[in-house]
Amino acid sequence: MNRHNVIDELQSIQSRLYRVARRILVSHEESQDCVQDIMVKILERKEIAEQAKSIEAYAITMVKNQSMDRLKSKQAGFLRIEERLLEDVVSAEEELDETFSSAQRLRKVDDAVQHLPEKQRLVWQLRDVEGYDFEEIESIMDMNASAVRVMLSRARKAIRTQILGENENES
Amino acid sequence: MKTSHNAIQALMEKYLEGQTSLEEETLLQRYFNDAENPIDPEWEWARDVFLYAHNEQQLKVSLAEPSTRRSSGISWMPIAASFALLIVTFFGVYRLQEDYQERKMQEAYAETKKAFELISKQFQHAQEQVAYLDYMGQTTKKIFK
Repeated sequence: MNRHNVIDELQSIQSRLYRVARRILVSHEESQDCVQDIMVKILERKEIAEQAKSIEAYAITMVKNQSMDRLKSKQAGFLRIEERLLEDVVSAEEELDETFSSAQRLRKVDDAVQHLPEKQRLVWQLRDVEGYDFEEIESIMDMNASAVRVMLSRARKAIRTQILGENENES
Repeated sequence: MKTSHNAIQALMEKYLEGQTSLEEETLLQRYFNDAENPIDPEWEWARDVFLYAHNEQQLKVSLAEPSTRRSSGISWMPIAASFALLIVTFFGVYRLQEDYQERKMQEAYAETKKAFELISKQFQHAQEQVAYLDYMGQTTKKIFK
């Protein structure tokens, strides 16, 4: 696989890389920055990337590692959450009346997902959004098969509990 | 496609345990995202979750291409840079040489000046000596007159 193929493949999965980074980092700028950084790194060390079974799994793993590192290194997580809330308020205001309640419900799901511990959140993202099979998730997360299933199950149940819990509080 | 309530119930139980296959999850997603399907209030949360996941899948970004030269034809930047470097080097060497010559000339000038000063000093000394001799001569004349 030559450099062009590596670039093309990275281009074709950039949205996916971005979504995974954003699931952890929340901020658009930081996620973008993270993905670009990874893409440059992969191109610089493309011999390694070429040896990897799949560039995609290799890249996703790097994105996952770097976003977790970034999250740990900056304790500005608090700030990020505020930033996100602001974004949500703006986008919510833009919604039309008839779709407002649907947007609200989706926001509830979003809150529930963001409420999960990082690893659960990642496993959920990789499976329920990106649609990876279990072997791929095992290698990306560096976990065994049963650990992945347990984590996924916990994530799904926690999302349900969070959504239903909020509903009960409202009614 | 009709999927019975019981089938969904069973799939959702598997789903919550993390035991569904990708195919089964696609089935669930299709079922919940189809507005035609009457959703049991019990599963409204699941419809929201699958809709959310579906929306997330549509989230696209287009990042600037990583800053590695994808060689489409000749890229002029390196060539321009080489020329700039060449010109700068040329002028640098030229200036250095000029400086060197000037320094050499100044050194030569200083040397010459020193030499002339030495000569003039010696000459003055000699003049003094001559003046002294002259004085001696006059005195001698006076004595032997």
